[in-house]
Amino acid sequence: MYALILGCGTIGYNLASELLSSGNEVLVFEPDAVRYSSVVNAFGSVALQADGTNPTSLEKAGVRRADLLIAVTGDDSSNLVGCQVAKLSFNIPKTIALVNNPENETLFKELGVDVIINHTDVILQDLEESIPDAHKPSFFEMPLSENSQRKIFRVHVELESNVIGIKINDIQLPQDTSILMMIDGRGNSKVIDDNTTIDIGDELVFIGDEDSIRVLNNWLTM
Amino acid sequence: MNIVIMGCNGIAVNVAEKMANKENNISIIDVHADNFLIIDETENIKTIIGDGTVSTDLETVGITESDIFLALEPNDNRNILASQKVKSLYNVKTILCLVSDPKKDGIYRKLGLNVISTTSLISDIVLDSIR
Repeated sequence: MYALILGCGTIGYNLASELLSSGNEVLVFEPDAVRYSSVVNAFGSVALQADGTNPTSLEKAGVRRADLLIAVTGDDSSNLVGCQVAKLSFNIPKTIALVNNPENETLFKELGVDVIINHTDVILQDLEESIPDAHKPSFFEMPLSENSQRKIFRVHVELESNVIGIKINDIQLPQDTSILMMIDGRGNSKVIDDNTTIDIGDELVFIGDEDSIRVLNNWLTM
Repeated sequence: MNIVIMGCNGIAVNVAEKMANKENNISIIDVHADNFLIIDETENIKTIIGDGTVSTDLETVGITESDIFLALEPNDNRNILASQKVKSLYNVKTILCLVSDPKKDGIYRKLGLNVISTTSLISDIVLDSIR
């Protein structure tokens, strides 16, 4: 596989290292002299000191035979334009962009970037995994299929959660979201009717899209 | 009309000063406060320090009520991001995007963006005059 990487910060550098060691061909674009030399010193001539959003530089790098472009600079506009130029001008099969400002995630998707890595989400996930927080219900989510926006997600009701004692049918679920099942602390499924309340140790399993997960998360952690 | 200009430079100020009157409200947004120093008459031009590629800052300059958005920063990529964002999120009738790299302008014209390329314009004038 031939991968073009835009930006050689920590992410770009480590990506290049990983992809090279697994036998792939890599070319890194980095206009900054110091960062550029750091790649060349470490991995040899696998970098260009150039702007990877520039169509001429991309062409020089053989973008036409590249399999994917990964834009991981600290600047969202470069990441977007790099992907768009590679896709629209050179028909690259796959583009991946890092989103530094979370608000750009939907826009990038709309504008044709194939895969989006949301910086903030990644850090938040790391934080959530590393800091156990008794006040927050813990989340586990699973996409229905690779391309589906809808997910199945599970909430574990912790000791100090604010929803304990509330009737399950009183939860105002976001649109297109529904509860699939409730499991009590001993692993038995609970019958959901108007009198079913949420207890400590319950697992709630929902189906919904990304947004509804966020809404529910806010509600459950209020 | 309400006009939002991203990037305070010679073109932006010239356009702003010519359009600024009772009927038009002009706001210029720029990340660098120093860039506003080139404006002579500030009375009719609102200046806001902020990032025109970020929607909260765009909303602060009143993008939701605007008729025209001009992206005139020196960085093509930022103009392209801002213009596509405004086109996608807000109901702005006219969007103009400055792209200096002539290799990029065609790509975005095909995408339906109103691209102004000063490089191509000036090169054409130069070429015409020396032929």
